[in-house]
Amino acid sequence: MGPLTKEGLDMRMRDIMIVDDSRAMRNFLRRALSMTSLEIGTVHEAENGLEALHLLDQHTVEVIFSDINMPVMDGAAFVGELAKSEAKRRIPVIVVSTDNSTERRSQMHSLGAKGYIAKPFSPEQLELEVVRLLWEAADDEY
Amino acid sequence: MTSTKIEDALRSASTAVLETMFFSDVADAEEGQTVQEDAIACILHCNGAENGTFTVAIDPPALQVLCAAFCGLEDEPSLIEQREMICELTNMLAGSTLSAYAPDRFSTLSSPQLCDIEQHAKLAQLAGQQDHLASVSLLVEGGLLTVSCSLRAAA
Repeated sequence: MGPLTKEGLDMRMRDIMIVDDSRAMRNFLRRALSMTSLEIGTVHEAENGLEALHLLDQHTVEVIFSDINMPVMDGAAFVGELAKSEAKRRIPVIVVSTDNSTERRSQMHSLGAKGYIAKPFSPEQLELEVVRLLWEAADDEY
Repeated sequence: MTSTKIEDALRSASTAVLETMFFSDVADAEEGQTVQEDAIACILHCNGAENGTFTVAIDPPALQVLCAAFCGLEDEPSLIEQREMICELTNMLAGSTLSAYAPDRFSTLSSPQLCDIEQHAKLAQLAGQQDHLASVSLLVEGGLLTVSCSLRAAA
């Protein structure tokens, strides 16, 4: 079976959140997403998991991109906190990290992350992972 | 030999990061080529299954080019942006190297910090002389980038 495509997928504009303590990395992700054919609406940004949780109390997003190593509240703790909320646990989280170890991937998936992109990645790889996640979310609705 | 394996991981990871996320052409530097005296350097440490240090040094014009490419800037990046950039670059190079060298072993990285070029030079000079040290110099647009590391498996 080849990679999933956008054909048949609801490609409405989606608001997203980027959680990373590196401003450079947040800018890169914004830019990489703009280089894909994904329709991105508002991009909310947070420097750590705690800030992200506060933002999620005020804004609705459909996908979260999260780093792991962050001060105040790291990615593992953040994903763990999301799982405690009925509403927030439904938001798919894609981990974006340089750590591509099997142990870390397993840890983040067991905490509730739905996707994982290891750096370095291209805009094309980013799009593939988002499309895969959106298909999964669409399947879960049925 | 461990240092060859580390060097291979350093080179493949660095090339992948620079080409994929910095949209940069990458080539091996000439034997004996070193970064400029005013090169900007960054250091971080790793702990866990692998313990050690990574340093990155880059010629200032090359850092400007990479920063602009990564951030999609049309104007020259500010000093703050460049410093943030080399820290992020160091983090990515270290993480990718560890993933290539020891994919099934778990280590954590410290926050990257700017450092004196002498700290980087010391590590780079020792590379090749000791089994757990390696250094790679790459030509990118604008100048030279050198990545060095010392890695020891935890007992």
